[in-house]
This record gives sequence, C-alpha cells and structure tokens, in this order.
Amino acid sequence: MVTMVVFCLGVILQTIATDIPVFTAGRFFAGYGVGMVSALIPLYQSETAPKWIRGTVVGAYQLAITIGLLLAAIVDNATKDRDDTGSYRIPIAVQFAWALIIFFGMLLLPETPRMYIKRGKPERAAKSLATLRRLDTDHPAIVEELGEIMANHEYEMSLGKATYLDCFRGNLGKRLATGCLLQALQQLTGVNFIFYYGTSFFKRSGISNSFTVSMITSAVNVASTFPGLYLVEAWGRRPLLLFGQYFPGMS
Amino acid sequence: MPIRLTPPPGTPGAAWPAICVGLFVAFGGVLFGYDTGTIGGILAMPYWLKTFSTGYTDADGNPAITSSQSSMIVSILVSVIEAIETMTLP
Repeated sequence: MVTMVVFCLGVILQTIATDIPVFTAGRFFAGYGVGMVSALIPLYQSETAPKWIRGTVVGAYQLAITIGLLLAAIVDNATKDRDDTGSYRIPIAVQFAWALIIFFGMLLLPETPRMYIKRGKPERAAKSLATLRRLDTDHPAIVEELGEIMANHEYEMSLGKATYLDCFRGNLGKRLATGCLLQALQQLTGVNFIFYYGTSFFKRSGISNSFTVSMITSAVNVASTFPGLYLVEAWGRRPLLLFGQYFPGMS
Repeated sequence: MPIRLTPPPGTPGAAWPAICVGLFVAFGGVLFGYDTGTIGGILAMPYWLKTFSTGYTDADGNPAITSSQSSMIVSILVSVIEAIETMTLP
C-alpha cells in the first residue's frame, strides 16, 4: 500500500518534470516503489498458492514482467512522433492505471497464513487459509497445511539467530557464490542494455524504425518466456539453463 | 514433471481463490516491466530530448543528453531495486 503511494509520487514527479533533476527524482521514487513490490510479489504468491501449482503461479509473475516491457514498447511507439509533452507524459502517466489497479486490489487481498503464524496469531492464520482454500477452518486439510506452516516456522526459530555472515561460510557460501555468478553472467548477456538503451542504441546505429525494433525484441522476450516456463518443469532446471546458454553463446 | 493445471486427485478444497490471488498480484510484474521498458523508448524520443537536453548535441547536431545523464536517469531505479531486494528477500 505504502509502496504504491511512493510509486505514484515518483510517477507524478516524472510527469510534471521538464528538466533532468526532477525527472531523476521521479525515477528514484518510482524505482523505490517498484523495487519493494517486485520483492514482495513472489513471496506473497508462494505463501498463498497451493503447493501443486506454486511454480506456475510464481512463473506468471515473470511472464507479467515481460508483458509489461512489451506494453511499454507499444505505448512508446504510439506516442514517439507527437511534437508536444504528450510524447513522454502519456507513456509515464499510463503507469497510474497499473498503480491504481494494484492499490485497490491490495485492499481486498488477504494477509498470508504464514505471516499470521509469524505474528503469533494462529486463529487468524487458519481463517486466512480457510478463505483461500474455501474450506472450513476445522477441515482436516486446513489443519494439516497449517500444521506444516507452523512446524516450518518453529523449525526456523529453533535454529536460533542466523547472521548474514553465515551466508558466506562453508557449503552455504559455495551456493551463494553459484547464485551470484549466475546472476552476474545473466546481467553480462546484456539483455538489460537492450531494454533500457535499445531504442536509443538502434537509432544511433542508423536503424530508422528503432521503436519497431524495440517492440520486436520485447515480443520475442514474451514469446520465449512460455517455453521457458514449461521446460523448466519438463526438463528440469539444469538442462534448460545449459540449453538456454547456447543462444547468447551463438550470437 | 510437466506443468499441472489440475490438482492431484484427492486434493480437498478449492484452488481457484488462491490462484486468482496469485495471478492478480502477478500483475505487479506488468508494473515492474512497464516501468523498466518505458524509459528506454523515452530516452530516444525527439521531443523529450529537445526538452531535457542541457545543450549537448549528438554528431548530427540534434539535441541529446550525455551518457552520464542517461545512466543516472535509467539506473537510479535499478540500483534502488537491487539494494532493496537483497535486504528484503529471505
């Protein structure tokens, strides 16, 4: 909720800006809001979705990001030739629509059962889970799933306080390094460059319809997320990662 | 294991409320992607460059912004996101 207010502040600043400092401040607040939301969503999804479809629901978030990129490319393309402030104000102001939808949706969303357990309110956790599964609070399935969440939480508590330093030690350190390396290599493929600077880059390279090229790259991104989401379950994580790397490797 | 779209047999209760909730919050991804994607195009818009240029011009004499200006506009978002994600993700 708070994050959406921060985000809207950022969007307002960007919309009214006519010089770089104000625009950058707008980007800062919008980035702050988006950053918080994007960290929370997968967590919220995995705490509410039933186990058997959890992977797909979280995957839908990845898909939604690529769809957002595509929508942005389309809106930018539609307004690029306007010779007034609408050329950039319209694409920016469209974000109010997204923010409002999420803001009012959030009012209706339940708090996750896990969060209630964490706060020591098991009866509210049971109610939240029962609403999500459309069962009575004393249904065996609810009792069982709630028991699992509680057991998990108690197990985590029993491990005592873990410090951030523990992340770097021993086996865990190796796993952290693998994760970081993969993320770093993913950044080095340069895909973010294409989405952030692609349009200016194509333009300067002498491609006259740079906005169209950007729409195509985003559309390819959306389309390739579908086989990605399917194959990550069908083939497993490692084979898909190895297979996926052939393409940047080839180019 | 391929993606399942039906619950395993014998699963009690309804899955659709949780799935709908999950898909609705996934909409936040559209917000994230849109915010990322929109700036790329804006940086290339002739009118935006004309308005925001501080006097710098490109090789053809058109108004432009310097690369340090564009990287500040673009990545102030990224750096903030990344810092927050590392702090809040479990």
